[in-house]
Amino acid sequence: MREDLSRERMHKAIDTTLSGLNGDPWLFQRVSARAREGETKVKKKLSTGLVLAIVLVLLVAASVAVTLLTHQEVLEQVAVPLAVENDAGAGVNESFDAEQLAELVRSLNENGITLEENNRIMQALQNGQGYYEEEVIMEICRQAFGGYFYTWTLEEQDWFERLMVKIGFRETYISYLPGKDNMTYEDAEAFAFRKIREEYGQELPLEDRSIWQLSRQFYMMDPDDPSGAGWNFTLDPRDLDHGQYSVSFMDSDPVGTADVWANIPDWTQPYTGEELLDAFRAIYTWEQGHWAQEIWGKLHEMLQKSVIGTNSRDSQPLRAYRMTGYPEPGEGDLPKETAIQKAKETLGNSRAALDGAILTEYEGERLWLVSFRIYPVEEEEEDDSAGLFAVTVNSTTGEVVSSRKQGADDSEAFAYAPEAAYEKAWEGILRRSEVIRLAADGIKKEYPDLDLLNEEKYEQMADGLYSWFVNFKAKDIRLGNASAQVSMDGEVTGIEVDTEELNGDNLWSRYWQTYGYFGEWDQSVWVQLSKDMAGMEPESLEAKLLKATTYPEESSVKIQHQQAKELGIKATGKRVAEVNTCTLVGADPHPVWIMRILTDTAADPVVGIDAETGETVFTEYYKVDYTPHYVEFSMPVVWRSAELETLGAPYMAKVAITHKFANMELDEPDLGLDYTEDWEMQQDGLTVRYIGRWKGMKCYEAELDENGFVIRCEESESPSTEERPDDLPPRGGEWSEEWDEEWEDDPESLDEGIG
Amino acid sequence: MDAAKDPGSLRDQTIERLIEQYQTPLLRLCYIQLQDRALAEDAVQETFLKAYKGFAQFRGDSSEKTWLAHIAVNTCRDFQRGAWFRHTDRRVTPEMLPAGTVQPDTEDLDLSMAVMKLPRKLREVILLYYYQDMSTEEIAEALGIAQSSVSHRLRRGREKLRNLLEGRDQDA
Repeated sequence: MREDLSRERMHKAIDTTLSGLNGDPWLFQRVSARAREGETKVKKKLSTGLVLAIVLVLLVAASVAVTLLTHQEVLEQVAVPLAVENDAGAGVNESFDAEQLAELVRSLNENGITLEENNRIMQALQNGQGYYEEEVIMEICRQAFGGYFYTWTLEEQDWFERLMVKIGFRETYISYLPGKDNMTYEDAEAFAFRKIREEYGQELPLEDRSIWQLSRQFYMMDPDDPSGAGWNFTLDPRDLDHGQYSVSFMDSDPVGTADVWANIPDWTQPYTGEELLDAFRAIYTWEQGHWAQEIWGKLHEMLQKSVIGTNSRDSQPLRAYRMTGYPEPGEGDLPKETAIQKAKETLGNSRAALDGAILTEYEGERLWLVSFRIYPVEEEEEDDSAGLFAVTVNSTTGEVVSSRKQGADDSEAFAYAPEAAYEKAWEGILRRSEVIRLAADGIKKEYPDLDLLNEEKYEQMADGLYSWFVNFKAKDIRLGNASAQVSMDGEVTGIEVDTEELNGDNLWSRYWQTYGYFGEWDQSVWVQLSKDMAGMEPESLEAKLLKATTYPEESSVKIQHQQAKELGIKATGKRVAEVNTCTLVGADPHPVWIMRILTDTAADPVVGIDAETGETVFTEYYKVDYTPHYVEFSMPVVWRSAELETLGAPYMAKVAITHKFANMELDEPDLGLDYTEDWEMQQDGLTVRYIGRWKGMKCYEAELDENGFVIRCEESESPSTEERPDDLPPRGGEWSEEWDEEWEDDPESLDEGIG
Repeated sequence: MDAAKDPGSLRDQTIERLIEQYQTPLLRLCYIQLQDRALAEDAVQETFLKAYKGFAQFRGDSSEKTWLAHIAVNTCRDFQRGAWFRHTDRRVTPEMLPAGTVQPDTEDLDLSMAVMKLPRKLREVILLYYYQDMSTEEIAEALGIAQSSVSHRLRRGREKLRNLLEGRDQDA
């Protein structure tokens, strides 16, 4: 088929041209780490005394319960009411606070259910913090059902989904259960296994759960349309000797839509260290500290036969693990528990959660590496005591050799290879600090005045996969950013420096650069911006609006930031909503809090709240790629007047017509008014008409006032009696299935056209 | 070996699988959109971070691929709107492409470079249709535009590509 051929060709072109761009093996770890930053919302911290009292109560509570509830009953009878109570204010609070968490854990304990001491939920509780509702409920479900979400039965998945709706984590319920018009679970599973066997061998013992863990998923593309339902079955191996298999198909046409996929390793063929470590992580998880001693031993052994890159920074951990032996503890070794105890005493921090304890052997020395994680107490603030720590204990003498904290230059092997092997593994590989210095030196050759290593002036950032990308982010609005690329061999290329003098038009971008996304600015930053803009003569529309707007101090108004946000959410009438930006701007008669609110709709409301009375002054709608940022920090009367002057009435009329008559659920609502082959624009002062040129089309007319506000916006039928010519491209605002069919058969399809 | 597999949360498990399955095509998609390797890597990381954080909002009302493409394309748009992006020259020449394991033939290279030269709106739909194998309906959903606009852009994109490859249009 022609379309497939074109797609095939595009795939080949892009995949060969960009074959140097491949996935980042650490991506999940990076994403997960970033996502966890600031995840725990601390509403109220409990005192140390109260925490101690709770923990003590928990220790004895299990013995007092008479009638025990199951995990599911505790969740339904205790967790859900707590989560609902949590949402009493505007919007949905996604975390249990410390007291609620303590109450839930106490209820679990009273019913004979305990959570592991070292998991993050118990850590949070011991730190006097709350925790994410979904995570807490998921942890309890894991204990009840075993495995993880997709390994649960469809009934269990469905029950969990209903719970998520009850706690307000999701607005609507979507069934996880097949209906009467769908395949049964048993038939779907049998079909999936049959497909795998047809493709990869009839002898595969797919039903053996000691070899594979089975994940299953039934999903509905559209809750009202059972024919759009689909299935996915994935078999994850529990060891390195078996492959991973996955089958997806649509419920309505399993045979025609089945997509079978497998990843079958062959460790008798040459392999890289990265591939091996990936396979270990897929099976034994990314949390390497939790790996058993024998897994480390196996990794070490298999790394001996692997190919490891010479100077890639990702090869350093692999080199370290290859050099280090991971023997089973013998009679002459310090017992593991003793090593952990000594390490814990050395660290001396009650918040330290055990990460792992591994016996290592390097150059004849047997050392226990005991690692701990200390989670930050206040996630939103810098907490220097938090991080990954490694304590080394000599397994022969029992002496504590060292206690170290992972630094910015350190790799993940820091906690899992002895220091000597770890350091040796770095030989010939650039560390982060060296890369930053090389980039700074390289840039300095071209721009000798830049003081890029001065941490008061620039934040130094370095990341990348096959080469380093170094950014020097200026901390002062008078300075511009600089960046460079550094190869693994230390060659500096791609130097870019913003040397522009500060002016009215770059002031805004310099503020972004220095203070980050404007939605996160404190009001004092806006006040300062206002002052800095005073002496400038900007030319761009955005900058002119900033200059024309005043930003008062928060202390000058009655309604404060937090209260304004709650009023804004209330004005949307939505339960699941989040304030994305919230800025106090000068207005008449009172300053107004302008905020953009994220909801579950495609158009985000931009709401103005009177900072003295709390009344809703206006509600506009923010469209991605459609509405400019300035609607979030200037009053409608200001930006509309400026738009009218700068962009003109036709543009404003087009926006007004589109907002009224196009489908606003779309990110880019579009009536196609720019397509001149279909529309004729006529302007009479502040009245603008878009007239459909062909029979059956519409006419739109919008009238604006002198400030750009819409007075009138109407739709009528086009007077044209002329048929639209067949050779014109499709109409912007209307969809014709006939045209689509015609297009599919178009003789000028891509492959011919470019062939 | 009896080490228990710590299952992690539903989010962790799903996002890990999605990363394994989709990150390379998304990286290439983002590279063509942004024409900068570091930015493309950042965009992919940002895409999965948004997917992680927005996991609660995803429950099969679109396919995973469509959902991720939607996030990735919008992330690229955010990057393109940034002042730093606008400040620098993003035109890519064949010599600037990341060194690969496979040597592309002239036809492949020309086609890839032509796609990169397309205007952003046309490039998006061409990539999603021909490289991400999405239907016009899925693209409309991912980009938040009308299905008719997708078809319109596809047609214009193809015309533009043809002109570029035939040397009639040097700079789209």
